[in-house]
Amino acid sequence: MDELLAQFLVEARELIAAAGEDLAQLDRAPGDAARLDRAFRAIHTLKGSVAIFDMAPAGAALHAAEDLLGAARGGRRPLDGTAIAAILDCVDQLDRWVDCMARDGRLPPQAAADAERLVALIGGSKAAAVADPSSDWAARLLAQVGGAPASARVALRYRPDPDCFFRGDDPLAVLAAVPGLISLTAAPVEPWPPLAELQPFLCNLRFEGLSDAPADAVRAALRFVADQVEIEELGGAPAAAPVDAGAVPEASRSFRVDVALLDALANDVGELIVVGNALAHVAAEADTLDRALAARLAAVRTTLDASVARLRASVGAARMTPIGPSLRRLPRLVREAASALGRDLELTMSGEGTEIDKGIADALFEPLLHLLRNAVDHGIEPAAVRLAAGKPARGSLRLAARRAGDSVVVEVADDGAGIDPAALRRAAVARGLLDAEAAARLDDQAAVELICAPGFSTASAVSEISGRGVGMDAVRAAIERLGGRVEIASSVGEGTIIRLRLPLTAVTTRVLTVQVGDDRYAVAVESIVETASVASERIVNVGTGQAVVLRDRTLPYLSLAELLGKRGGGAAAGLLAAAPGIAGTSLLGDGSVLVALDIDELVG
Amino acid sequence: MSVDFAAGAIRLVGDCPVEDAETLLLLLVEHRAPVDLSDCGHIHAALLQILLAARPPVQGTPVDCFVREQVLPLLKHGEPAR
Repeated sequence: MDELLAQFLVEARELIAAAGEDLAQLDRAPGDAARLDRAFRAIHTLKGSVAIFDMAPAGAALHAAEDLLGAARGGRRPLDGTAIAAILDCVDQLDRWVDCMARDGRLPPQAAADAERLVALIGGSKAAAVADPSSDWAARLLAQVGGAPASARVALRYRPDPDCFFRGDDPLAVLAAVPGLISLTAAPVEPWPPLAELQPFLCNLRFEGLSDAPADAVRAALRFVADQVEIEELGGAPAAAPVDAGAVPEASRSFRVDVALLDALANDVGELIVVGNALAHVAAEADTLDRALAARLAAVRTTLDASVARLRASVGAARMTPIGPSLRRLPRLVREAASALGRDLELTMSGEGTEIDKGIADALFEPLLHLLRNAVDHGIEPAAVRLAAGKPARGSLRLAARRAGDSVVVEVADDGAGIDPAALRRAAVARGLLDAEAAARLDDQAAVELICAPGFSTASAVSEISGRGVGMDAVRAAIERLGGRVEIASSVGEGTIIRLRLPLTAVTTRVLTVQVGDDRYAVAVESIVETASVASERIVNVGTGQAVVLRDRTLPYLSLAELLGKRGGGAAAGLLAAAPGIAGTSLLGDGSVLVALDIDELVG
Repeated sequence: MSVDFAAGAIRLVGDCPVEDAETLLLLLVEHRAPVDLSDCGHIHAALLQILLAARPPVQGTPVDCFVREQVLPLLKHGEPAR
């Protein structure tokens, strides 16, 4: 794909998501000037970007939206709910158009008609220049620091974008590079919320400062954030903030990298680890011939191992990405689902800055979309039902990500009807998954978890939205493929929380190798509680099986050789990968194949 | 790990990147303890934001010159920010 278009697609989706979020917030708090500013800027930037491509209808619609936001910003026309809904429509349409551009490289034929409808909807308000209120911030700043120090030549005001942290910007690092800084103040843009509610990854800071360096030098230091900075030369005519669009970034600290390249890098590191292991075998062989050489080989290997470990950590870190971009298209799709099903609901998202392996982040979109659509379809009740149950008419849907130790937890929570364990028990029996007695024995939590059983669908009618043959079992399988797991907490009448617990990094499984006859097998360290040496005479027959008593507890004793024997172990590893009880394969240093066992499956 | 909690104080050690923001916030919410900057290098603006919002007592003199001369005064500035 054309590189320019590829870049546009990435940036447009980010801007669309940002604008969508800001507009949704404006709907709740229409007076929020910072949000309004941001939404205006996003739409303005989008309008500029679409002009580069053959997307004239999109340009027309965005122009109308920009006018309306500009008028609101200039205080000439307050934004009401209808206006915001119209602009949101425009943003959602643009999102679909961007999808078309990605797929077909052009807009669909009906785009012009859609754009006309949007322009009419927005009201085609007249373009009007937005007069910025002339600011006296520089004078105030000087008064604050007790008059300008004689040496001060430049006053600067820097309002970092709220989402600048996500882009990897550090405003303090930017300011540290400003020459001749003699005074700096920092203040919140919005009043600080209670500490526990602070969004650590949204920048709510505004800096003002004085510098005794020449204005050009200050501007040069701030050129990458020129759109967020105002600079006034003191004692001279106030200069407009320079937006040096043509400047070539020469010292940018970050840039975009194709994910395929990172994947290749991660694979190569894997190969390198295998080579390092092979070296260990060579060292062991050399030991029988020349001990001194073997010792040197071992030393080289230790150094190599340490380097590879660092390399692996760096590649892992490079693959870490905020989860936010993977979630950005979800609000639009939830809005569409809600409107198709006639549900009134509000989606809130938090923790978009939580970092996770890129591969995992990318694989989360589908499962999360399914969970959210499920919540809209089966969770959130129609407004009338909600009111009758004493709940607010508007349902609440929450998507939250957070780091929890070595894992990342992503939650989809709704305040809807909840999952009724009794209904699930009945359904399981009706579908022949369980007999009535087994169903009755399940406790409520186990019954709720039936929803993840293969082929289980609880909806009495399969609807357009969530009934596409992808059940909760598919969600669970997708999450487990990523090395994660799904937890469900539900309370009838109060709502459901589905919690996805995901590994922070793509899994490199640490294993213990065990030998059965001549074959070696790997067992994941996570599935080992304890290793113990037990004398064979302590193995006793119990019923049809065998057991050992360990610290007064009787534990079943199973022979791995027998378990594998039953399953025809020892066949070609490549064919085994899909066999039950086999979790995967790995190459050993001597070139032989190590088969990793899935103990749960083997024993179960 | 450049943010930790020991001997009743939250310590910022070395350069503290944006990833440390959440840890710092959690520690401040949990402990309301003073923050020790003695071994602190550069701090990311996300951490500054949390310190400005939380206004904990700060101790120690940061190693990093910019942080010592320009950022520390923001944290010691008497009035809690609005």
